[in-house]
Amino acid sequence: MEISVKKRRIGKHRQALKATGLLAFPMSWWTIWFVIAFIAALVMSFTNVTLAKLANGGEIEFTLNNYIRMFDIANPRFDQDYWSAMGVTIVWTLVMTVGNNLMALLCAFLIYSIKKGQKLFLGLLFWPSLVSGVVGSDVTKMVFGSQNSSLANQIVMAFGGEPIQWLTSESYALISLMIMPFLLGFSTKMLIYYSSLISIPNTYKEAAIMESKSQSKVFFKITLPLMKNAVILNVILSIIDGFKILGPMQLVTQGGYGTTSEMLYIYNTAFQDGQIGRACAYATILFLIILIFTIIQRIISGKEVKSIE
Amino acid sequence: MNNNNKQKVVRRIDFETSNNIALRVDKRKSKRAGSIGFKIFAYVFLTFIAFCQVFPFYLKLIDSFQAPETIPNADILYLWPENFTLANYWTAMNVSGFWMALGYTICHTVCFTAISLFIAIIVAYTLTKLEFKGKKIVSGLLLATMMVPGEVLMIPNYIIALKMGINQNVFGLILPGIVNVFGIFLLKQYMQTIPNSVLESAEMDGCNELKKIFKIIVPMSKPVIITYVILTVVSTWNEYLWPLIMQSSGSPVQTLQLIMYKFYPGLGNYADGFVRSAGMILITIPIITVYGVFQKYFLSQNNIAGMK
Repeated sequence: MEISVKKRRIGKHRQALKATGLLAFPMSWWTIWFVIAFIAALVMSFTNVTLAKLANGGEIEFTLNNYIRMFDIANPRFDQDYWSAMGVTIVWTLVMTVGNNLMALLCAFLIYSIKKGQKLFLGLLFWPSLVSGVVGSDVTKMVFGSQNSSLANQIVMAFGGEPIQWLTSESYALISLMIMPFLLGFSTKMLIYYSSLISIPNTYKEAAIMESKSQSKVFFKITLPLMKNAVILNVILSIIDGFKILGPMQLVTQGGYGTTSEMLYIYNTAFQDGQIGRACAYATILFLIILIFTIIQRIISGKEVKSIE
Repeated sequence: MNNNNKQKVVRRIDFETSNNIALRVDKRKSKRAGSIGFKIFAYVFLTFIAFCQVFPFYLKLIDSFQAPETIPNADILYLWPENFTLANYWTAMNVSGFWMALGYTICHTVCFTAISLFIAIIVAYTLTKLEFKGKKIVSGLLLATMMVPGEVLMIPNYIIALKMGINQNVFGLILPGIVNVFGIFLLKQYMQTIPNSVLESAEMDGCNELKKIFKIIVPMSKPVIITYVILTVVSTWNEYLWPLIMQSSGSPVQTLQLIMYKFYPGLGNYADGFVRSAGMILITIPIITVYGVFQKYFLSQNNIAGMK
């Protein structure tokens, strides 16, 4: 008895040693690229550091200017472009969150309610999420080409409209960027809805059907409330993704014609203008926005895990 | 035939969490006449959406089959190439360093997936199967990094890569992200279901930690490892932002996504566009192939759990 306790204690000590050995490299590497990087981003957001100053060793000062420029409307150097980028991002996020989730919910429910070919349709509707941003944006460029022969213009003309300069007009550029992600970007959400749908016990619905309630009533009164967690989770994931949007804007329109998103503005400020400090301040605000939604998401998915257990 | 049916049922249960009896009852119920109209609507609508998703890519494919000297009519949407040819694929493979970029991309994808998987296995194992002080703190810290989107760290990471001097070669693409927190938690979730007794008996036999990991844990976590590998391969293959940033620092490393993004070799007429389309199709084929082969892993519960 005594020996085994002693052995276990030694075992524990040895396990700690082993764990240290196994974790040493991963954790220090992680510290460099995540912890130090994160602190560096915070610190740099309070300085006037630029790429040129980093390369040539210019003088770096601490300043609040980066934040003042963002929030002080009275300031003559008030950052109008930042807020228009924010506006574009919020519009994008709203449209994509509502559009993608409605589409995903509808498709998941339809796939769930057909009895043959469920896997076929899941497979058919899932592959677009694997297409790279570069290819997707190239396809967007082709579909929304300005010539009469582009698909979008053909459709418009079939309904008797005039051909539109989709990607080079202030009023249509953002809309044309949205349509492809709306059609192609809901597949992962659909999968989450589908897995939530199949985990609902059928007995609930049977009980409702026996009380001779209609299909739509069953869906809105019973199925949807039971999927509450999946809906909230998907909505928040969409919001987070929406705020991080960069691909279509950067690859299709290069931010022209009123399509500069928050992330693209950060990218341009840092890597084209070289204003790292300012870009870090923007990134910090973006981080805070996303953090709020991530915390909500963590709480909800934590709850869901518990409810499964 | 019967055997085949059985297999299907088994797979189905595997895939769905609902229990078998409920499923059968539901099947009987759905034979009621009232739902036929709804079913037809479901099939038509789903087919329509699937068609809408495929059609733009089909147009791209047609575009890539056009003969280089074709001058497309600006009023006609081509549903079939005017002069069918595969020449554009040949051209796409032989201009502006395609093979070099292919090499870099494969190196990037394979090395990144292998190294990050190795690290994820070791960290996930340590955090689930070893007892030590501060285990919860380490998990918590790693979990906290999932709240920081990678895009926010892009600027400091760029500076770190510059300072380390890895921005001039392919290591600049591989090394920054090799501690993949998403992967660690995906594997950790799965490893928690492996009973400790298996490991204890292995210890009796005198296995050391590495042997335990690679002889016992890895074979037992095969499904989740495959899920991780295919997800990582796809996302690494498709990555363009970080390579683009590295390139802006003067790196000679080209990836397929980058050369196709900046593909304007100036072949005259409309040939550039056709060759570009061919290139886009070329860099998508591997992804679609992976999806075709490993489809069930993309649609598996492991993947869904990872998304949350």
